Amino acid sequence: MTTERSFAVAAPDRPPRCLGIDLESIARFKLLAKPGGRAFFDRVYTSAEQASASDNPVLLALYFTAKEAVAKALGTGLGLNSAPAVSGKDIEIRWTPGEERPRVALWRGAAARAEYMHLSDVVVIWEHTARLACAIAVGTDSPVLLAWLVAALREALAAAVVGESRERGQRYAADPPVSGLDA
Amino acid sequence: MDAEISRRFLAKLADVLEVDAARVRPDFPLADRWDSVTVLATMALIDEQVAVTVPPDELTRCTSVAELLTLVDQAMGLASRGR
Repeated sequence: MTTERSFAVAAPDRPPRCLGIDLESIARFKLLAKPGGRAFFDRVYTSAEQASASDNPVLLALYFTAKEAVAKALGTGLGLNSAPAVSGKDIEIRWTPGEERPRVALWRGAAARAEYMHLSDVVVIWEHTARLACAIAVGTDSPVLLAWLVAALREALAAAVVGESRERGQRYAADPPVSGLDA
Repeated sequence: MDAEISRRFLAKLADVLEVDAARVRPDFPLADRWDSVTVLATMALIDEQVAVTVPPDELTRCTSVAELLTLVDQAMGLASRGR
């Protein structure tokens, strides 16, 4: 994903320790929410996440992108084998409606990896359009950097929507980035 | 895998791959399609349809639907011999 626009903001006050990003199509999570996708859910989401998302494809996509972004920030990505370094359930995404950002709890392999990296906190920011969910995980709580990342994320998603609309020969669809899951 | 299970499996695989079911034939290429959601969803699909677990690294080595079906058949054979 690229964008031609740039941002005129102050430099981050503290550099990030690590960074990961993920982007997913929400439509795929509509398919996976069907009964046949239960094995996927049980493999990836904690029971708390399944209860919290309650088969909402937007939330399921956002939770997944957040997990994958955190796993990438930890330098591993989500492991898919039977004994991965970091599995989907090692990273729990906690979000309550109205909260600006989700909170992240690390367990087992993810916690061990964070300790190895001397990482005390991982912050996740996320955005979505009607079609795409995207999350960035970063090992810093620098307000300047987080504001910059949110702006960059919104800009990139808007650019992706424009590109997608052009590919389909449509006018710019009404699919702007959405914050706060209130759409 | 008998013909009916194979037909049902390919129809659901098309959903996972987000392509029209008519395109998912044995020569349909898979090499560039193995992202994490696709791998996990395909593992779940195989598990659901034929009750075997295929290792993800073997899944991502499949470059076509034909190779995937062969892999599933082999996994089913190993599972039945292990019973």
